[in-house]
This record gives sequence, C-alpha cells and structure tokens, in this order.
Amino acid sequence: MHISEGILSPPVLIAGAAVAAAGTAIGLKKLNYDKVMGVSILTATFFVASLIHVPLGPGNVHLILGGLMGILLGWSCFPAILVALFLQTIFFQYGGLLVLGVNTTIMALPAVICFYLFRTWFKKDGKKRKLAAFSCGFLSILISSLLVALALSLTDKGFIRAAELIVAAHIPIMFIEGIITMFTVSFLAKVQPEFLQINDQ
Amino acid sequence: MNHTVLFTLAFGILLSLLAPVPGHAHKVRIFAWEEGGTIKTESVFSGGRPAKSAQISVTSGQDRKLLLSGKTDDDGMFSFPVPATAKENQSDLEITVNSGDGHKNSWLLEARDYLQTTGNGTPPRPPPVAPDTFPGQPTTTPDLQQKGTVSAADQAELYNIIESALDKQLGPIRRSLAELQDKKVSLQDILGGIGYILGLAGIAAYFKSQKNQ
Repeated sequence: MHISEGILSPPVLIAGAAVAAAGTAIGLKKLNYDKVMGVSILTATFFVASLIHVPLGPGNVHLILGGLMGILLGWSCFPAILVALFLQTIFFQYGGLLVLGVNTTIMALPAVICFYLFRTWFKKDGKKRKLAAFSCGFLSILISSLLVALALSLTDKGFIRAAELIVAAHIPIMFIEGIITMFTVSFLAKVQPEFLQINDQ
Repeated sequence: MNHTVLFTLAFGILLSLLAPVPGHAHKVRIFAWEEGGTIKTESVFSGGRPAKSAQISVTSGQDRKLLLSGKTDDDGMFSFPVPATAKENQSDLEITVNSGDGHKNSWLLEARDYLQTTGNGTPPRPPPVAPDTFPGQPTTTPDLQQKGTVSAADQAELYNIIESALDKQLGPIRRSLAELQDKKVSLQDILGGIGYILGLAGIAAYFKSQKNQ
C-alpha cells in the first residue's frame, strides 16, 4: 500500500496531501483527552502490524488494519495513520516523505468511509455487528486498492489495468482483514465495550 | 454461529491460497553488481519475493540519459553488458526498477565499482614489462623484442585467467555485499517507533488536558 517516491505526478501528490491535511485537522479537532491513549495504542498497532509478514501461498501478506482503525477511531484515524506512516517512512523507507500525504489518504480515507457506512450497525449486538466488522475490514482494503489504482492511473497507466493488478493482489488481504476485524470487534465488545463506543459522543 | 465463523475462516484461507498474486509488499528493492563484464541486477520485494517482469531502466549518472531498459525474469534478475558509452565516460549507472504497482527503487552503481574489472582482454593498466615491448623503442634488439612480446602475451593471458577466475569467485561476494547495503528492519527501529508514538500521545494528552481546565 505504500506508493514509492518518484512515481506520482505533482497534482496527485498535492491532492493527496490536501486531503490528508484536512482529515488530520478534523481528526485532531475531534480528538479529546479521553481518546488520546486509545488513538496512540492503535497507532502503535498499525505501525507494527504491517511489519509482520504472514507467509501465505507463494508470497507474503501483512495486515493493514485500516478497517479496525476506522471503526475505533473515526476521523482520528487520519492523524494516527499519518504518524504511523511517517515513522515507517523514516525508519524503514516504506513510501517516502513526498508521497506521505497520498499514502495517508489511501489508507485513512477508506477507514473513515467505512466508519460512516457501518457506525449504526455497531450499536446493535450480535450478528449484525460481526457482519459490519467484517465488511469494514474487507471494504477498507478494497477502497484503498482502488485509490492506489486511481493515483497510479492519473499518473500514467490505464485505470482498468492498474486497478485489476492491485485489487487482485489484495483479495486475500481483504478476507483476512475482514475476519481479523470481526474477531477483534467481537472480542472488544465482550471485554471492553466502552472502547467501541468511544466514537458515540 | 460457530460454524459460520469457521466456514468464513476456512473460505478466506482457501481463497487466499488460490489467489494468483497474494500479498503486496511495502517496497521493491534492487541491487546490482558487476561480474565479468556484465552487470547483474536482482530485484526483490521486501517480503523476499522476486519482482517478476518488472521494468528496469538504466540511466547514466551524469546526464540522466537512458542507456537501456528491459524486464526482469522469473527470478527478478536482469543482466546486461557494461554499456560502451558509460565505459568511455566513466559515468555512474543509475539502475531503476519499477514493478508497475506503485513501487519503485533505484541503485547507483558507481563507475569505480564496475570499471575495475571490466577488462576482459584489455587490462586497464598494462603489466609492468609491457613498455619494453613497444615496437617504437629503438634500443631493443630484435630477438629481445620478440622475447618481450611473448612474455607480454603470456602475461596478458595470465592476467585474463586470473581476472575471470577472480570474477567467478568474487561475483557471489559482490552480490551479498550489495544485498547487505539494504537496511533491514531492526527491533530497535520498531521499539523506537513505538516510543515516538507514545511520546506524541503524551504531548497530545498534555495539550488536550490544558484545554479542559
């Protein structure tokens, strides 16, 4: 999901940075004292999650956890993902500083979209919550890959071709994310229900 | 309920095993080294998977002119002979890989790293006895000159043999040296990153608590 430096054209970079800046501003505004610790814990989780490679078939996959961030943080996932990506850039050379805005948008915007699509379902118990959690994990990756394809296609390749390649590469992760988000949410609902409700105010 | 969960899990895993291109890496990396007059490059994704049929382009370091381009094979390898113009100008080579899905990286192969051994028949510096054999030198007697030529030819041949043997031996070493230059993720980096995040959380908490008062 980390687009490298030097691939995208300046308009795409600027647009991505603008969305990321706006999202971060809204996220920071919505952040209150009680949420800070939760946000930072999820930032750390996101930062580390993409380092753990799970060997699967002929290649490796890693978790992204965008959907989970969206459910638990809402708009605050923008600053969280921005910070995590920034640290990944300087520590591990994933992506780059110029594409930081685009990469943040690619991962945080779908999370926010999922948050708004499924937030009402989360207040209900049982099956519906599980389904919503799965869809959040699944859809956030799907929309993220479409955004990557869009960013790439605006620079050179045909959209359809790029989208095919990238969506196909992410299909396994969509299912894994969906399942992991589902289990995490049902676990949190049992153990720490207030963590799920922090976005209700 | 439990059955549905199990089914979804099994289905997901099954599907991911069947999917043709599972996974997606954070970045692609490339490293290049010289081996007996050809430059070899290897491109891999950060998970260790070779970057198949990725676009490779070679540009000269100074004037950014595209010298050649090609595609990697199934093992992510791409090799090409040292370009003649680059050899003449002694320019550094910038080798860029673009895997087509938003990942790109480059490797700068400095001129001194590949020019040293590109001899293959023409040693960069002639062996010490070679000046004696220049035909223009009037002082050498004919038979001495002939003897000198023979030994020079022998030396050149010896030089080539040693050269190619060394290349064979040093190739893998150059490869692993090039590979080592890539920075691996270390535990310190991870812990450092988490430390930064906690520090930022502290700062945010401080400001938010100021506002509350």
